[in-house]
Amino acid sequence: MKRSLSFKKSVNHFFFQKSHFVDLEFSRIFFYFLVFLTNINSQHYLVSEFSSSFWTPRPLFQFMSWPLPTNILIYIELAWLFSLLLSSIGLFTRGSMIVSALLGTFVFGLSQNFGGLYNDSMITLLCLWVFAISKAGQYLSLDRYLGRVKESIFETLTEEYHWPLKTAQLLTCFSFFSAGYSKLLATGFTWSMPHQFIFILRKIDVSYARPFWDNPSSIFLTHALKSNFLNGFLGHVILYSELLAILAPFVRPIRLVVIPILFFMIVSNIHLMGLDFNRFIPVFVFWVPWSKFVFRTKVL
Amino acid sequence: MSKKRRIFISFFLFTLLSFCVTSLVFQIDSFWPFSPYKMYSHIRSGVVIYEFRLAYKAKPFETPLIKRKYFGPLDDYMKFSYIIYEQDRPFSPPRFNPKVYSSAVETLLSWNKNLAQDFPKATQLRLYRVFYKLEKTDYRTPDKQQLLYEINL
Repeated sequence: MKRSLSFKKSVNHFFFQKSHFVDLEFSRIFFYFLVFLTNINSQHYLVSEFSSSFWTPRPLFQFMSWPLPTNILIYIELAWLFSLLLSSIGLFTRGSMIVSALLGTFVFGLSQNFGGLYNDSMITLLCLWVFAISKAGQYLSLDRYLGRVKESIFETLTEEYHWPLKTAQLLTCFSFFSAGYSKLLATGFTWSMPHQFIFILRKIDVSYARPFWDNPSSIFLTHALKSNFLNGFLGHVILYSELLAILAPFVRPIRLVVIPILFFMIVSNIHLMGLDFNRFIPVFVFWVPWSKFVFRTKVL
Repeated sequence: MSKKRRIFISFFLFTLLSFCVTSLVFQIDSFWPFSPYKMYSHIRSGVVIYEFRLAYKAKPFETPLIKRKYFGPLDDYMKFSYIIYEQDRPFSPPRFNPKVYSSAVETLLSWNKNLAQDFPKATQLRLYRVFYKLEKTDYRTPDKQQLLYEINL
């Protein structure tokens, strides 16, 4: 009984502490803007070219029939991108955040209905839903400057500014932990053995007909990874960082080490290995201590 | 925060996190959007790739089909029906899958439709299951190869 009470207390403490609005508002601005930037050239509407014989709808899309006109898909994608921008600058914020979550589900979900699954959109989409339910956008938004938000509802410190950030952080860590756990299940600790990165580059080469020697940074990486020590070291760092990520929201020292490593890993995957990991970039804004920066520099 | 809102948020968080944990524990790939992204977890020294090649009546050789928009979905069917579930026995006999077959015909028609007028039309689409050994120096040369489907127009 005592243990269950303390568990409840810990959960409440984790999700429902009173927090200042700064962290949530800055995270909202940068998160939506980065989601907009990373998707502006994605051309999700191209799925309209897929024939109806490929159509295998997932439960959420059972109500739909295929094909849909390309024009409609283009308009939906543009509306989604526009709602992301509005959510970032804070115009019609509540509405635009709900619209961006709804349309985001449609845009990301559409390509899941042709036999394949692209789970890289998972964190972004879930975070869009978390923000859609949150009360972000009350302080640092155009809505406030235009007088669209009632001054009577302002609270500088409330639980409403805490739980969305904690949930987004937890989802981010969960996603990285899942990747580490799947590696353990699939290959065990051999995933972190030397040559793993060379195998990844070669796999991309043979499966996507995208030779890594087209990319100068990959050539550099291939030479660098000839060192067994470096190769194995990087493999271990990535595997253990992913596994430890699940503790990052709870343990500060782990957070300070693991999150920068994961960020560096994602950036290197994009720029050195040419992998399409752009969708992971926006979720790192939830880890920036915006309030410390803001209070120290007295920006607000 | 009102009590009603707190209950609503708690319910939302509980649902969200339990879906994520369930998909992780049972490794359910098709539980979108809760299924985790595996980030190249399945890379081993050997890899099975499905290759599509076009064949022409007038020409004796084959052309690899590399435009993703044409073979993307077909490739995905292959990946999820074979690679995930038959990873350790990639050279088991192919099973006839009518959906894959009709998708391949669509792919071939779509390919021909988008060609320039004076370009020879493809008459066959062949699907190979190819096994590469990534640790070999000449890893681009297939280690094993098996013809799965030959779709004629």
